[in-house]
Amino acid sequence: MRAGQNQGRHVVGIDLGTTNSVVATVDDSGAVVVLPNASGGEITPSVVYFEPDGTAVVGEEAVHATAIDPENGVQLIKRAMGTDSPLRIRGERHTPESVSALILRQLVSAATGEPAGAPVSTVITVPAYFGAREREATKAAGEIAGLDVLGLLDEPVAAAAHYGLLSGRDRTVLVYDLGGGTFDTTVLRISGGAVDVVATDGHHSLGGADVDQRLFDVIMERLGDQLPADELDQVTGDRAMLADLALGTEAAKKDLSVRTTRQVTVRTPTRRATVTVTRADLDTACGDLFDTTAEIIDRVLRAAKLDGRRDIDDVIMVGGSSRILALSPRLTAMLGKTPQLSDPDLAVAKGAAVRAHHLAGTAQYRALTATVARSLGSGGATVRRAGQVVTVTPRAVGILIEDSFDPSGQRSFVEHLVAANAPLPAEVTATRFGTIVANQQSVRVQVYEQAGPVPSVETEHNRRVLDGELTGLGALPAGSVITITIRIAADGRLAVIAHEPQSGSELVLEAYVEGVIDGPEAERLTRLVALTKVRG
Amino acid sequence: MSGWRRRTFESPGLTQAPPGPYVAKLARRWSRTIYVTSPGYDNIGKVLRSMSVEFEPFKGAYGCDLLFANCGSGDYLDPASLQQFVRTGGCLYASDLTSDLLSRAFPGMFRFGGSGSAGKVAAKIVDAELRSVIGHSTTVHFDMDAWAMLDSCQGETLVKAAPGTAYAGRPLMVEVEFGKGAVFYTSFHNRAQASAQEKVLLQLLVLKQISTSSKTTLAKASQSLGISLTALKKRADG
Repeated sequence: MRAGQNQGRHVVGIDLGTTNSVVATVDDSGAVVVLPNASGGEITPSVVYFEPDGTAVVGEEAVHATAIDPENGVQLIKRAMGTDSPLRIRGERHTPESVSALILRQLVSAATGEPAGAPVSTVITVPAYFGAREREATKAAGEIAGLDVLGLLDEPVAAAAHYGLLSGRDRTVLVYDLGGGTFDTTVLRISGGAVDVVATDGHHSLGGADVDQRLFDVIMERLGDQLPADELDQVTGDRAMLADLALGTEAAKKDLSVRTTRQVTVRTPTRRATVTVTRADLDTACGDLFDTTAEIIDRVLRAAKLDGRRDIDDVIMVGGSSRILALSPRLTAMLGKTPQLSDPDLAVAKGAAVRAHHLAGTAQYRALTATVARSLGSGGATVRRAGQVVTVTPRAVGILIEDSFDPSGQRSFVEHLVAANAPLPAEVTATRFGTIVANQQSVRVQVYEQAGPVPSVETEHNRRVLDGELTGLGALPAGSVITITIRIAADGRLAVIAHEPQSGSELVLEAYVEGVIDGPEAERLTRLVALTKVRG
Repeated sequence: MSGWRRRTFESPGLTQAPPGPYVAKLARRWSRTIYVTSPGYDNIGKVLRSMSVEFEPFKGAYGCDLLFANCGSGDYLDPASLQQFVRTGGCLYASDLTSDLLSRAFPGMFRFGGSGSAGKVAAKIVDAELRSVIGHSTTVHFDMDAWAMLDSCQGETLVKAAPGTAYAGRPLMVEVEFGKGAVFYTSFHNRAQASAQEKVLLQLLVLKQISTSSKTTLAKASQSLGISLTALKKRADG
């Protein structure tokens, strides 16, 4: 039996990252292990390149092919999850869900050694700050790939679950997760190996890719000082040269984590130009990005009602971009303790693997808790709840209300029923909403979630996530009560039930999630992905 | 896998319960104002009443969503105002001898030619939504001679004279979009339609207008008025 298999079914955790992805499992001895990709490596770039015959190449080879032929490659697709962003590549209509599904298919196929279609149960990680749309889209991607998605897990929670297992102590922890494309910060309590989230916050589009872009801009500016304008134009107009420079920039960023100076060489048709960049250059160019992460930490501590210096026991840094050296001193100054870099590239997938085995109730999970208990000498007490998580909703969720107290008759606003950072699962029922028109046969129910950094009733500060219609109301006077129940599952997925109490009958809320594919489109994409040849 | 289908919804939303003092003003965002000219040779108001659709008599102003113009009404309709009404999103119903008015208000949109005689005419239902309820054919009753005969129009034919009749292929009921609104025209009078199927056809025409005005489907429009299309179909089938 291959590692992580349970009654003929593989059970894995997947860190589906913006720039890189990792698959992990728990083996028969109870060890949490990363499963190798097609090249034998642990980390797979989340890049897909479509060859002329339609074959989807995922990983390192796709990175190079996409750099040269960007029209037929897709990268940073995670940033488009939960948005209507159709892509036409080699004549096929794709969406963020289908591209992510191709990545997932290749990851799982390489990790398990099984062809596509083999039974695989999984937990997929998402940024804690992902809203309802992005979570639905991620789950849809897993299903399109043919996976049994046991649940979604917030990335910082996964990292903390892994950290909690290793430390074996009950702690209050702040996780600083700077990934390739997103930033999350989460305050949580680790107790008995379980993770209870206290508060979470983040930024949907701040990550290593933005750091790369800033450093790239510095290099281009310095190149402009060395090269005549026509030669600089040649560089900026040549796709292959730009691709080389982008790869060189990323390598330089990584090197600046271990050295203070790095040279980047650019070959033009007539000469070689060398640009020197320093760690100080990187820190200066990205200072505002790092400041933004500090502001978000302040906000999450306020939401958690905690003092960073007094109440936080450990600060752990995860995500590949947390290696940037300027970050650690900033966090130390801010929180009064030195952050620990905790297996930054792999911790999330490992935490997801533990969660997946916990949910699947596997023999490997029992072996894991026994092994860790033995190693900590605790007799099992400290890890009795390993893999259990209590998360919170990152955003307030509410209902769009037409304001009958407003003299203009034109105002609407969002009344939040579930507050940000409410523990999950959450269920709130409200009876303070009613119909507007006498004898209206149906009522539209629109569900919004907080879009900005702080909750606001103004519609433009929220974004619609569900839209539906309750039908068959019968002859009711205006103002008849409609009961609304909002349920948010443990993995952040949203359901809304509307009920008309006078008739006593349960009424069906037809709903759709904006920015997420619907049923017929999901079926089409499932066929498309199943028919696409995928390789690593 | 999710089974939902992408749709748009236009029903009124939710307000506070108990509602605030301006709920009536709020409700007007979802209600339609209907004006009807006084009866003449035709009486569409009777059809509206049979459907429990509320309306007000036309008093010379055009501040409504739907305007029903009876054939031979004594009320004066100004062609320029009528054009402006439809151009900005209004929905106009007109029958028979309003043909001159339509030709002046909407030049080039309707081409009338000659006149027909009293009697019954076998008709084909062209419009798919109407056909789904009433079937492929019906009979319309012209109670008076000299009804205005349409040659053609810059729009959709909903009902036309069946082959083999004296008026074969002639449009009898049409829908013409103009600006943001639409004009529905019938050559026959409502009050003359005696059979259940003919009455259902007229009710469907009203629903069709309301659905056009509300930019929704026939099914949605009927649902919003509490009218069952299935019941209408049963009545039409006799």
